[in-house]
Amino acid sequence: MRNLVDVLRLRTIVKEDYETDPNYGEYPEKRSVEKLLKLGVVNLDKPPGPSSHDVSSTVKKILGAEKAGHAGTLEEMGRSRRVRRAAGLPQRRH
Amino acid sequence: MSGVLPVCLNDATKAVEYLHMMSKEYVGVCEMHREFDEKDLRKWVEKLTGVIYQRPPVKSSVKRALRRRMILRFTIEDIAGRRFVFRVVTEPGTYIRKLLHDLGLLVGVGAHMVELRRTRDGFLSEESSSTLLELYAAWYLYSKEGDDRLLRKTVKPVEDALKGFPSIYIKDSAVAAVAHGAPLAAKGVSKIDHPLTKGDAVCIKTLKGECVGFGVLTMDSDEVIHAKSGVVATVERVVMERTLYPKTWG
Repeated sequence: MRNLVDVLRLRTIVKEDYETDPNYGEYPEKRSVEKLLKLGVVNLDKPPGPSSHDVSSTVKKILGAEKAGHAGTLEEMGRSRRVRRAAGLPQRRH
Repeated sequence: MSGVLPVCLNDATKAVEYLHMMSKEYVGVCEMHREFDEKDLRKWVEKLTGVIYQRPPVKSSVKRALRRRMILRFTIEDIAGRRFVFRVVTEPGTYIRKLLHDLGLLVGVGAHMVELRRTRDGFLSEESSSTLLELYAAWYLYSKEGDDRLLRKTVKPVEDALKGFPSIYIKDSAVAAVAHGAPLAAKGVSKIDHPLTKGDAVCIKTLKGECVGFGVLTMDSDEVIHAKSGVVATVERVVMERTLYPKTWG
């Protein structure tokens, strides 16, 4: 399996023309807000400070989602209290 | 560190592991520990573009085995005294802090990263990102005043993050079977991205563009085009609800 997929130069080719039935499913851009929340993604601008995990759990709380998961962790330097104190960084609050 | 962090909601969390498979772009500030030669710095930045070997740092959550990682782009944007601004585009799983540390060793004066911001993750870039405050405001307007305009700009269909992911488009009649985890048969395929090779991960989509799930190709894309029967892809992950499309069996 390739590790990196967005750099491939691809074009879509047709095997067999087929008309989709409007009675089933739904175009993603036509989803209701309820459905968007069930199958949606937030492109979040993570603030510096809290961990990626903390931030995605805040997103979950704001939107009242049951589950939230982030892709690609953006971690802080000096994660532990001891390291942060030694480096003169503010302590993280939970 | 700040910047683009895609957060998947509810059923979209099933796509997280596939969102990891995309390149990331960062902008950051690095500080050299002594005076340095600018030409030397530029030379090493150029040499660190392409395939590099990297051992994950001591403080990391993965096994510290030597990794090969692709640095797609590495440039110096600005230099001021001992500090410089860099921009880097990498394969996932590259430690940027380590890259800059190693650059410092190569230049011979030592260096450490002072700041880092992710400006793009796959197809999501910072221009379309929202802060937690904007998300909160969007939710407030929607839940208290029934205005969904801001929320619709903030919460996007998971398919938006998968634009450009290698895809295979299937007929309505094949959707329910794939949504139940059955392997994808040749006669269920309408369109496919090309060129792809056997073993590649693919997003299985309906002709409306909905993500049904993810699978692995069992043949090359040009073979898929000509296949009359048999399995063309296995299904590894189902994202879509099972009951949206009619069952065509039993």
